[in-house]
Amino acid sequence: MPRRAGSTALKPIGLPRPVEVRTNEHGRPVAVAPAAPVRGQRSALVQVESIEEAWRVGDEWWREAPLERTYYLLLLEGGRPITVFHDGIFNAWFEQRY
Amino acid sequence: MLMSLPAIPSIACLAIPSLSFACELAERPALASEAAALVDEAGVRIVEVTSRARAYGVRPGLTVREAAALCPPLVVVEPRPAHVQRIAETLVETMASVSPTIEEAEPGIVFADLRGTERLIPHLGDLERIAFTAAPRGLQPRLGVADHRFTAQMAALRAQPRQSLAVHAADAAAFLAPEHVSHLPLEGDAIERLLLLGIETCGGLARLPRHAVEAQFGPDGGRAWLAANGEDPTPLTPRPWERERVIEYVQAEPPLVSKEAITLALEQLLGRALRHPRLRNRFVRTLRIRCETERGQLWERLQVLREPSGDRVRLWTALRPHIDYATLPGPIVRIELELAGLTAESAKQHSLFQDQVRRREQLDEMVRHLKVRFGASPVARVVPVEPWHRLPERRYALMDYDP
Repeated sequence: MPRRAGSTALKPIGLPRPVEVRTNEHGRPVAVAPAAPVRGQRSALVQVESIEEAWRVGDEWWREAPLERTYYLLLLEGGRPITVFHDGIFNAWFEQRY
Repeated sequence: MLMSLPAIPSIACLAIPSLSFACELAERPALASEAAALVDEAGVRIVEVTSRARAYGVRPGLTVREAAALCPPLVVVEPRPAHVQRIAETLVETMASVSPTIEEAEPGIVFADLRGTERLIPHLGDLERIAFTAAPRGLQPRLGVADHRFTAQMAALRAQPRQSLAVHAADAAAFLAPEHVSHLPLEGDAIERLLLLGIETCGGLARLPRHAVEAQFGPDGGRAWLAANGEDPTPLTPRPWERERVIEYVQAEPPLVSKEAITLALEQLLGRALRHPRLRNRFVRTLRIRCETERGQLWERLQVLREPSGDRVRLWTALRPHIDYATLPGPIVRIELELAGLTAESAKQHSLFQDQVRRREQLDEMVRHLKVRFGASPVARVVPVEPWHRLPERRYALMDYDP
């Protein structure tokens, strides 16, 4: 086998970060602990003031792990906007930064 | 008459018949007992079938619709050329460890010239051990050894799975006599003519006078006659020396869809390949791009340069149009660039007044210093992947900048 001089992979920028979300009985977010700026640290839960927008993204159904996300643009207490989504495949919440 | 003897004949053939189908059956063994068929890369025609499917009347050459009409429970298997190529490469590497003179006749059929390796491989059992140990699990390689190429190939095809068959020169004609003429190294229309003449076996052809066969079929007929007599004169065509190439690759997850991203990745690969120590003071003659889709399909282009070059811009000019005008078979998970046909460098006079080149050299120098300091390049380059994608993480990516 010829020696391969090196290999690398493309590293995506802006990957969604796991986030803690409390939901109501309808599955809508009521409190969010935004992803901490330092990895490993935990942030406190902040109440959601309003859901500004909600939308769904479903795509890549032909792949083993298709995309099935429900996005929420939230306004947190204090006026901070944040975009989170619920991943229907992995059943987990993530923060999405644009 | 046919047996494994301690003195090994001079040509060995390692074979996995119908490699593409064999790879699929190795991963899904249950398919072997079902009515299953492998289709071609276009997904239109049947290429290989299991015995159960054959019992329904399904045979290679039928369209998938025709096959499905004949056999409703037919399981259609799509080929994965990239996966098959990797397995085929393993077989080639296995034989390369046995002899420096090897030839891959087709994926899954590899010849090795054993002359001069008697002290390395004194017994057939040693050759078996090397060949079968390295073969991927689940596959059924066979080994044939003989004094001539065609006989060795037929011996491999007739050997039991994971066993070898040695055919000595004195037994070759008798061994080949019952074999069908379609195995002979002849064009399809020549074989049809043989069948029309009622010559169905190698023995039937071997019984004819050589001059009569040559009169009908020309030099090819003469070679086929010799092959049928166990004296195939075709020599092995060894492949280029292994170390005379540099391979670089990049893997992408999620798969790359846009040509811009693929182009950028390829450009980066070219830069990295040119910095390889093996290419120091060498020029490149051959460029090969290989792209693999997430479903294992393969897209490949080979560019042979009229003049060898070590100049990045010239090489890029030759490479880029292949991607620009490519119709790729799907989202790409792996891009591979191979630089081969390495030659001695010849002198080139460059301009002294190129600021851009100087700036790049300064940047490269700086990154090299950082690499010495930190052990790896801490500098990355932002490359657009799919800037229009609605998911932010799919838009841009970081790629190591490694001069």
